[in-house]
Amino acid sequence: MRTIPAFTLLAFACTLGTAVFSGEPAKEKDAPPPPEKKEPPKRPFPALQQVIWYEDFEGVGEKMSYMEGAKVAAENPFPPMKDNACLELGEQDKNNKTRWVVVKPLQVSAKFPDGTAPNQIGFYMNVWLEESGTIKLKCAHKGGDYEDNFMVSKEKVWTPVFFKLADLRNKANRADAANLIEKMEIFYVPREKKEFKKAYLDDLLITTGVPKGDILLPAVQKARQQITGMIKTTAKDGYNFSQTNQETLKAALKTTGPAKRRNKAVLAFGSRPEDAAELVKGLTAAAPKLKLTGYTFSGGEVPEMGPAGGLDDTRVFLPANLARTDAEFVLILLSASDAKLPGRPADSVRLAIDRSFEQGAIPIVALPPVIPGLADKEKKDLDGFVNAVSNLCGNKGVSVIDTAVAIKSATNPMDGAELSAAGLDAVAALAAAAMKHIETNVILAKR
Amino acid sequence: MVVTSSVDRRLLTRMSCRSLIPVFCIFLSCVTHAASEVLYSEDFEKFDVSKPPKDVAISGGGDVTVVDDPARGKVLCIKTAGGAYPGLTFTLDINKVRGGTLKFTVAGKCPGEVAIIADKPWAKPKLVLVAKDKAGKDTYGGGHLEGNKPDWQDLTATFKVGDDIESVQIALRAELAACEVFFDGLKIELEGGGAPAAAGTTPPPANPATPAAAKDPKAVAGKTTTKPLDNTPAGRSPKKIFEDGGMIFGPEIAAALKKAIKPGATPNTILVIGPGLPFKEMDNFKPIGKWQALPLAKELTGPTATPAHLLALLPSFLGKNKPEVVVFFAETTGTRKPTNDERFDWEDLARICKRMGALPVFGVPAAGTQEELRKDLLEGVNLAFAPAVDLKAPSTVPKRIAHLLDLFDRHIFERTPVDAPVAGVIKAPDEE
Repeated sequence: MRTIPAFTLLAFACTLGTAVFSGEPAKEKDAPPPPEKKEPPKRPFPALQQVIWYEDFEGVGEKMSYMEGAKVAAENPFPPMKDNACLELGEQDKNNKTRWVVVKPLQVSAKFPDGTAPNQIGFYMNVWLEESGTIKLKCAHKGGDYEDNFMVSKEKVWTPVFFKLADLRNKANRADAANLIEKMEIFYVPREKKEFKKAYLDDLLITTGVPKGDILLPAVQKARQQITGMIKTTAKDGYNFSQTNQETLKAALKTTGPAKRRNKAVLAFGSRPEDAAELVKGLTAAAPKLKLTGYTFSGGEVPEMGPAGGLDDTRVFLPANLARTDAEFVLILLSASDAKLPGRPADSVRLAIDRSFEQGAIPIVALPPVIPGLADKEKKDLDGFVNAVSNLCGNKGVSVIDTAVAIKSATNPMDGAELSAAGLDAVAALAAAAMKHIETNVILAKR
Repeated sequence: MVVTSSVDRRLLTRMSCRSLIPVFCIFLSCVTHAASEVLYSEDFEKFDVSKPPKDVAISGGGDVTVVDDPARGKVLCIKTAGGAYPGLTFTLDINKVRGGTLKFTVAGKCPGEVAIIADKPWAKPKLVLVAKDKAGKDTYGGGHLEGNKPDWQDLTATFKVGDDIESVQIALRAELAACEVFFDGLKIELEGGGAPAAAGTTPPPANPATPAAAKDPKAVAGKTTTKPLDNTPAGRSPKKIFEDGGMIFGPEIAAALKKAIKPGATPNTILVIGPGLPFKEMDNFKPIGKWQALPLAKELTGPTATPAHLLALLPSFLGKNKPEVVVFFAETTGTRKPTNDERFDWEDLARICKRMGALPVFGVPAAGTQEELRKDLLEGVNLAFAPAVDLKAPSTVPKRIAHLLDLFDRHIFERTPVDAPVAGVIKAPDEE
């Protein structure tokens, strides 16, 4: 017979005593907590799960909210780096002539080590130093910080710099898998420390499972280029699209869309019944130029009654028209009069978007054109509507066409408060471009 | 009405005889309407803000427009950022109204927020009367609307125009508070004799298309529980609620539905569809009179015919078959969970019907059954301003629908005179 040690008996008695004293069953107290469901970490490149974060400073503007102390130099002053922008480190310590940059990784959803062993977390960056010196990386979490140095002997050339999180330390502190890095500081201390020397940084890469980021860098740069090429902005391109749009649309179509591809058809709803025909004409004319091939275009209809038009018609007759055409895209053109509808007109836009997704179609929303001479109050209402619709589309991954940009080059694009035929043609042309872009980056990419 | 109210109750209690109610209502109507004259009746259907009638002024400080309301057609909309008194002001002919009693009524709603001003709690959207006496002192009367209420609210007030009153104005306006408010169906009546008006000074009705008010005491007939806003057949529709009549109907719904009538619908045809079918008691439904039911459409009935499904299929069916009335039966049994946007789906089914010239009717599951679905459906009915039938006592449902069709014939299509005798077969279900 097995002997029960006295310690075990004592522990059992204590547990039982506590349970009886507190009036709670021991079973409940001892029950292990339910396992926490941890979501998979968000990664910038779905195909490259090893990449925790990457920044090449292209197209980000001079300042970034998640970085302090440095500024982006839009023109790379030191070829032969292929890209243009890099980061110019800012002055930090006048005594040692130190330059630096502070990065807040949580602001860009870069969570590390967050459960990953520190020896599996690597940092890679390219630096250009006017004078040889030391690059110091300091990482801070809630409970403290740790750092490591990397000597750079080359001057005035781009030099790769590596760190491993496990190597960072500071007296008693070392990186632990349970830490969550909230702040990264990258310092450059010049060899002579006599004057501030220029220092530039590029291709900041944080990886997991790869000790040296330079092996991964070409693939990362390619992935980044793909994303950069995918990005469209209303200011520059007249419509918006991004990686977020791509992911949201793919998810929406995966959930609700049919397994096989729908008809190559486009459904267009104008802000007035008479707009639909003009939009269809414009789309049909623009499609071949954009190689948007094989598509048919039709306007929204009220069965047996003629064309549909306006937000109310769009909202209620969209499902029937999608059932009729099995369209892959829906173009919804809004107008200032939609902003005046009673209640909350943005709700009608939301319903139209949701109903499109439910039937597996991709909506594209054209915002109302800017109308000159509006009274302050009317302008405020219209702005409010545009903001509400823009936010809504942003949340749902729906591309928005800035009608003002679309009609900029059109001759006499307005007919009072509504778009003229020329204005509608211009919007249709931009919508066709947006469709082509979405087809390439969502529909064909999905397949 | 106030004077006679206590008498009403005593008499009703003592008699306990439903058949005398219409007679009594006619009597009341005689008492209250005998000497009334409508000074203004404005439904805003033809109101042009840029060219208001001569006795109507538009005050600035906000947007005063006429907009489409899904339930009531054209309505007045006042949008303001606050700090002013935008709205419409009706100036009455003092010589005509002096000595009489003004009764003014309007329906209004304020679905959004009304920004309350701390030291001016009275600053709200209002139906307001301003009377100035000889000393220049203002007297105010009327009522205000509450914010965050999407439903139409009735505002009614009376004012005895004393001999010392020099001017009287009645306004629909937002007072100082930032808000968006809607008004419809303004009616200003004069009761009792005033000083004789000088010839040609009586302001004409703002909308000549709106018929003059009721002078016929028979205007209030049947089971009317509220005073009609106007004397049109739609305005004389009986007000019905689930607890009194087993259906939702009334003058405002009738007026809204009347606006939905379009040429091209096949007269006296009714289409019955929805996920609540088959509904045993409707299997052999044969509407009386000229009404005919279209054959059941398989794709539009049964558990798969959810509101979202109907949104996709109903328009083409309506386009081809052009029924005059569509009755939607919601599920009285089953386990379907309403979607997040179910109420909008039901509302939009009604909007599709109205847009395509058919009048929608909704069969609503009884209280205590399908609670979530019922709640959403009733919200949809409310949003769409549509009539509804309670499916509580299934055996009475066909009769209720038949009764509703009779009401449509009288008050909306106007194929039957409002006061024509009610055929025995189509008694109101709760009269049986």
